[in-house]
Amino acid sequence: MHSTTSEPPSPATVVGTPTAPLPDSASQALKIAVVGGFGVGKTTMVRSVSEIRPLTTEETMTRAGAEIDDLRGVEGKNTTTVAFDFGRITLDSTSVLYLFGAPGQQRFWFLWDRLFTGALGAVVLVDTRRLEDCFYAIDRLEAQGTPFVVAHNDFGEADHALEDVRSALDLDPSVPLMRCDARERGSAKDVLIRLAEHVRTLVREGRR
Amino acid sequence: MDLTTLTWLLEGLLERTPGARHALVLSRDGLKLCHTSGLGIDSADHLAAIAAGVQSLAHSASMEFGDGGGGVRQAMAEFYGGLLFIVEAGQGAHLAVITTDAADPGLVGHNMNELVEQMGEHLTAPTRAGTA
Repeated sequence: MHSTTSEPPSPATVVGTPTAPLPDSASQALKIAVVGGFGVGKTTMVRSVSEIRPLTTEETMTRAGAEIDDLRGVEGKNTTTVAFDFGRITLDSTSVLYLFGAPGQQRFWFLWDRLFTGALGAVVLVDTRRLEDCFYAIDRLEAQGTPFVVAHNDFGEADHALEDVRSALDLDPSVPLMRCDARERGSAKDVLIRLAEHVRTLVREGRR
Repeated sequence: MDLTTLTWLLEGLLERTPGARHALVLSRDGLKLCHTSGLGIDSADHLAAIAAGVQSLAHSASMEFGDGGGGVRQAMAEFYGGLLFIVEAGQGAHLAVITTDAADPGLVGHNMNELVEQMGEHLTAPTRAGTA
């Protein structure tokens, strides 16, 4: 990604030493939310892409959730995020992304408000085995006008045409949609770069 | 120890702790296991999710700034109109108590730990491994 904005680099974004709170107008330091349904790979994405030891709040799933947390399609899953994930990635000399991964289950949705505060954009992860799980995230982002991209986490196996996914989600043509493997650092990074470009385009066009 | 006994023990905790309003036992992944009768279902669900999140963040704070073991003695929040206390309660479970802001934090913590000892090993929220 190339920095095409005219502002000089902000002193708050010196790579590797984040000290100041992020101004929500900064073009170089972006707060990004990673959202999506339960078990879609949000924690995996933050973990694979973060250059610092990520803060994760994963807890072992207990039998109390057997009737509530639906494991269909993700039977190997045995932990779940109960607060949020936090990670950081430097895209280039001027762009630092701070990642906040949201918890997926409905009982933690009350946390999303705070996670979205000051966020310049969001990544919505989708799993085609449980497509409906991401409807809430997309509805909410559209309603609050937060720019977002949709990434189909296919774990390296392309099973659906992207256009089919777009129509199943009834996604606006202007919203970027791509494939990714959340376990792969490069793939997850590509999604974030795409989001940063999308946000910049919207800013340049005066739509943000 | 069945849930009726457990609930009865929680009610007992409220009775002998001035200012205590609600008590709830939750699983570490944020689901209520049992709670006192004054707490509505919706509030109980909400408190279980909150307490699991707070405990998990407290664990992270312990890992980063504590002795490295990640252990949490107690997490506490003091807000306008009350206090929230959370302690570990057996394997995979936590005990959360809401009090008025007039409560004595030392006494609340003491009584909570006493109750956890009483409940002891009987209180567990077993993992789902092998049951899915």
